[in-house]
Amino acid sequence: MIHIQHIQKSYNDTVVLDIAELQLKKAVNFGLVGNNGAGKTTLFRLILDLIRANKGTIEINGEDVAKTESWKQITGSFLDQGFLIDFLSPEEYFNFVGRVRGLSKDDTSLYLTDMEEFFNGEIIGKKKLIRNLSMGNQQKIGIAAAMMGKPEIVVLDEPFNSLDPTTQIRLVKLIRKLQETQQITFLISSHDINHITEVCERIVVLHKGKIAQDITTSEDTLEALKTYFAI
Amino acid sequence: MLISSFLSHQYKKARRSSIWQKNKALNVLIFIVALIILAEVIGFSLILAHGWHELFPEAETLSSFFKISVFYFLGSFAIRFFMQQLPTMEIVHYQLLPIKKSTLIHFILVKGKVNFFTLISLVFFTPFAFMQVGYYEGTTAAWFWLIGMMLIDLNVNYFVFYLKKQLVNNLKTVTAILVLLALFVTGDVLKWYSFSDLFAQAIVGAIRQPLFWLVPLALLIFAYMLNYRFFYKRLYLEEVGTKKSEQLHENRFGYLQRFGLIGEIMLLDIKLYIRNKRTKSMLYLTPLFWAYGLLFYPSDQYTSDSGFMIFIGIFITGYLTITYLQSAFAYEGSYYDFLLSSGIDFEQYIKAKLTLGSIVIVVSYFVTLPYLYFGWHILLINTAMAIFNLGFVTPMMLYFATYNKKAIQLSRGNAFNFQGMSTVHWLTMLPLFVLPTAIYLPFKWFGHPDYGLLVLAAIGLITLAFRSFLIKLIGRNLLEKKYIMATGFREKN
Repeated sequence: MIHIQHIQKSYNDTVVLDIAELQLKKAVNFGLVGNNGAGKTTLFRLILDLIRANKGTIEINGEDVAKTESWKQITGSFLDQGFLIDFLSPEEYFNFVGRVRGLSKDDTSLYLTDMEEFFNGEIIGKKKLIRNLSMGNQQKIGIAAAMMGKPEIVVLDEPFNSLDPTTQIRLVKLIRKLQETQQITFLISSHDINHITEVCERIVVLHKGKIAQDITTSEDTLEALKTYFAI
Repeated sequence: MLISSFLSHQYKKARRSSIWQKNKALNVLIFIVALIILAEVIGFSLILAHGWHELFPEAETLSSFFKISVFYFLGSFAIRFFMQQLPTMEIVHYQLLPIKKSTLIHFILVKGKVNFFTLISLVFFTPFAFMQVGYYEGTTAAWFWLIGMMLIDLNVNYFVFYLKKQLVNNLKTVTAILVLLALFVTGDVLKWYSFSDLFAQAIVGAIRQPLFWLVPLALLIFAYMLNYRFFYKRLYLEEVGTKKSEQLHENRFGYLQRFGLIGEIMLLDIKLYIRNKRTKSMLYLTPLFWAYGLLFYPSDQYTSDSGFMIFIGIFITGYLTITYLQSAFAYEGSYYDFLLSSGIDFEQYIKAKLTLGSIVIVVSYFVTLPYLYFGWHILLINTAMAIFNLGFVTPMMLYFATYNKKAIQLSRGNAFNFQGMSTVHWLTMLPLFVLPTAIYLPFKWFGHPDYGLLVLAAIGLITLAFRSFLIKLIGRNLLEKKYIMATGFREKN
């Protein structure tokens, strides 16, 4: 599904990411962990073609992301606040994203009704602009927007950040559900190793831009990760 | 002690901000412009003070000036209202520290007192005080008068603070204030009543009896206390900051959505303009730019210089569109990553921006149609320039917009804010005004100015015909520059 080959990214001669090969399979959730500066966000930005790689290629379904556009239609993403249009109301934002993703207004409303549990009644119908909402609620909007329009791949950078505990648990459930019912492949980075082991079948540990460990999640994974990071 | 460290923090903040660092040249430019304005005011006030008594009979010399100073204060009120920043500084940082609330507020208020406008007033009134008031009434009276004028000026200052703090972002009240001011001035000029006479008499009275100056002093204390109390009650995190709950007017332009994604993108840009402080204040200023022609059209001296009229024509029909397209991408800098990854079709995206820009040109053209009053010639020029703007200028501005790598912070400041502007902005303005004049002038020199207009309009029409090709061109350019732009936009300053 996603094929990363010899990818390298450096800033001023400092290599921040260097991955020889990585192949991600459909409907196998992929988790990315690592300390600050490990290159998690850089990798996601490269996958989404937001920055240019110095070397190597990334392909989604066999298409080079830097040379084609059609992969964007099947890829939803939320990396940071730079994905929100903060002077819109949540409804307006969802409608806009929906329109870009080819949904009708009714499709969008239907989708939002499905999301009501995740939103916990704090997003829709509040007559507020996104910029006036709390970080947590902004995060919910971004995540929900990334999943619109039945994408095949959803890329989320630190999705559990600033969410309240209830919503964190709901997000785990939501990801599980969408993976099963719609065969969505999630790419998730997190500092929270508990949650990431709950939602990902495969976890890669990045250290200073390189793959330090590539784990197929099992019962021991959480302990293994804890020992790894407890240096 | 405390005050001096506040001041040093403010200075450091200004010096170390990336806008200052990156834009040293621009800051120097602003500084020079400020100096020029100051020098002009000094020169103007000296000339005025020197020759004023020759303009009016002796009995009215002083009172006629006093009358005019009413308009000075009114003008100053209006300018301050739009340009002056509120001196809230980031007191948020200090609120956690054990510093008395009242110290903070006094600091804000006193600091706000010392600004460029106060300086201008001081410079403006001083020569007159000693050269005219001093001559007729004696030096002591001159001192009193000068102090009195500055007291009134400070009054204006504090009332503007208060009003602004009360009414930020309220379109209706701002319009109401403008209309009231306009009515006030018109009424006075047309002699329905004469507030200026009354004011002048009061000033004359105060010169005779200095105790009257206590009135503006008392007013000033009142204004200061008003501000003080206002801040004292509201010195809480959520209220000092700009974050206020905003009322939402949905679907005001809903019909645009019928035009598919293009309509949706246009709607997004309209919302961007209406809901952000910086762009909103640019909208407020648009009528002023439409009225720009009034400065020049009534005078034959200007209208006979048709090269200059070309420039005015571009400006009047295109100003808003030019500023919009020039920063079209930089405005969206804060969510550019989203636009790139969402799969929006670049060509549709560009087309939407060009379409909206074109609509604004057409609207501007019709709004300024009444300039026909100043002659067919004006209308002809403006029509040609509107077509030129539509076909040629709009794609050109959007093409150059891809060279802007700095996101514009929409929530900050007013129309005279230069954050996010770079040399590119000024450079792209250059061909905009040089090119059409350069095309036009040869025709004029050979005695066929109308052909020049025809050629300009023709260029507009031809480029309009090639619009879809130009859209592809801009799209390719955008694709090429997207990494550089996105990286630039991601940098928060």
